[in-house]
Amino acid sequence: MLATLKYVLLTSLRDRLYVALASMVVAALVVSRLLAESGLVEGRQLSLAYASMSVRGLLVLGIVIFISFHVRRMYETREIETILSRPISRSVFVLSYAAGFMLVAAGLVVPTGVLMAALLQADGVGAWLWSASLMLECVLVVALALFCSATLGSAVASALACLGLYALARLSTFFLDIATSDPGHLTNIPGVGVAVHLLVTLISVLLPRLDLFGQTRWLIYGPDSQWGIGMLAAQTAVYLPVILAATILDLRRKRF
Amino acid sequence: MRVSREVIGVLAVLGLALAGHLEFWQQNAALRAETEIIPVPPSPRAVSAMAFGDRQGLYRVLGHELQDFGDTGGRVTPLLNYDYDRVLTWLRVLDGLDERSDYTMSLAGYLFGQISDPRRAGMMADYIRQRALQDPVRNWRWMAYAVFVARHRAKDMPMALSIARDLAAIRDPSLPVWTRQMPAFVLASVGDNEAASDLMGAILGSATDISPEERNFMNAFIAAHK
Repeated sequence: MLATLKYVLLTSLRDRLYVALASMVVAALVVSRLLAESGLVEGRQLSLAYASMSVRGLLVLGIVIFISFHVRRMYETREIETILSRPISRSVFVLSYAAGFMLVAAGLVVPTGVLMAALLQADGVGAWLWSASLMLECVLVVALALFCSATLGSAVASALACLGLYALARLSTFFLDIATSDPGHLTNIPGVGVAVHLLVTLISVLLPRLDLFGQTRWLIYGPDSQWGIGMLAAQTAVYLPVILAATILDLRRKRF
Repeated sequence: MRVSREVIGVLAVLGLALAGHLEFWQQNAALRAETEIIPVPPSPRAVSAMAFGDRQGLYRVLGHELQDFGDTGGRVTPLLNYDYDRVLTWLRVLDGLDERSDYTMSLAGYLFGQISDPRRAGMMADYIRQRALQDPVRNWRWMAYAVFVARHRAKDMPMALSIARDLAAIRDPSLPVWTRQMPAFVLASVGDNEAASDLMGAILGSATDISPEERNFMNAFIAAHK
C-alpha cells in the first residue's frame, strides 16, 4: 500500500500535475485579487468569490484529467496486469490507488486553503471549513474519476463522463427543485410529466449532494447555522464506499 | 539546395491561406454580435442552475456583471440608455442570493441612483428603502442615503420625506439623533419651516438621550426656522 501511495505521488510529479495546477491556482488567485479592484464596494468578498469558484473548478478538472489518463495508461502499458500478478487483491489495489490519488488531492487543497486565508483575507474558521469541504469534494471526485476510468475504455470518455457526473451532482439542488415542484407545461403531455419527474428524481437520488460542498459564503461570512462539515463528512462517508465498491466489482469482472 | 515540388505546393497553400485569413480579418474586424446593455434577468430556477450549488459565489459574480454590463468590451454606456426596470429586477434577483451584503444597495445608490433622470433615480431610492427596511437597524445608513437620492437626484420631496419618516421611525439606541431629525431637515429644505421647527421641537421635548451639543444645535435649528 505504501509503495502504491509513493508511486502515485511520483507519477503526479512526473506528469507535472503539481507544477501545472499550482501555477494555475496562483494565477487564479492573482487575477481574482486584481478583479476585486474593479468592484464598486466589497472588493475582498469579490476576490474570494472569484478565487473560490475558479480554484475549485481547476482542482477538480486537474484531478479528473490526471486520474483518467493515469489509469488508462496503466491498462495500455499492461502495468495493471503486472501489479495484479503480485499477491494483491483487487480491493486492496483499488483502495490503495484511491488513497494515493486522495493524497495527491490533499497536497493541492491544503496549500490552496492557506493561500486563500493569507492572500485574500478569508475568514479564518471559514477558510478552514471551506478547505475541509473542498478536500471532501475532491475525495468524492477522485472516487468518481477512478470508477469512470476503470469502467470506460478511453481516457477522454472517462474524463468527460466524470466531469458530466460532477456537473450533475453540483446541480442537485436544481434537480431537487424541479422534482419537488410543478414541472409546468410538460405535465400536460400524457406520460411525459411523470417521466421527467421520475428522471430528475432519479438523478438527484443517485448522485451525491456536491452542491453543498465548498461554499464561498464560509470564506466571506464564516461558518453559519446552515450545514457544516459534519453533514459533508456524512455525505462523503456514505457515498464513497458506494463508488469504490462499484469500482472493485467492475475490476473483479474484468479478465486480464 | 533543391526544394521539392511538394514543399513549394505547401508553401503556396500556406501563403494563400494566410492572405485569405488576413483578408477575412480585414473585412470582418468591425463585426460584433449584437449585445443588449442589460440582458433579461434569469428566473429563480435558472439562478439555481447557474449557481452550481454556490449561491454566494454566483451573487458576487452576477453583482460584478451588473455593475459593468454596459461598460465591457470597450463600450461605455450612459446610464440614461439603461433599462431601469431590468436593473431593478436584477437587483431583486441578486437579493435572493444574499440578504446580508450591501453590494446591491451600493449599486443602486452609488451607481444607478446617480442618473440624471429623476424618475429612474426615484426607482433606485425606493429600491434602497425597501431593501434597507428588511433589516432597518442594520441598514439605517442606507435609509439616510435613500433620502439623499430621493431629495437630490430624484428631486422627489414627498418620497424623500416618506423615507426620512421611515428612518426616524427606527427605534434603536445605537442610532444617532439626526436620524430622528431627518424629516425636519427635509421639511426645512422644501420651505415648510413651521413643520420643520415643530418636528424638531417634538424630538427635543421627547428625547432623553440627547447630548448638550446636540440640544444646542436643535434649539438653533428651531430658532432659525421659526
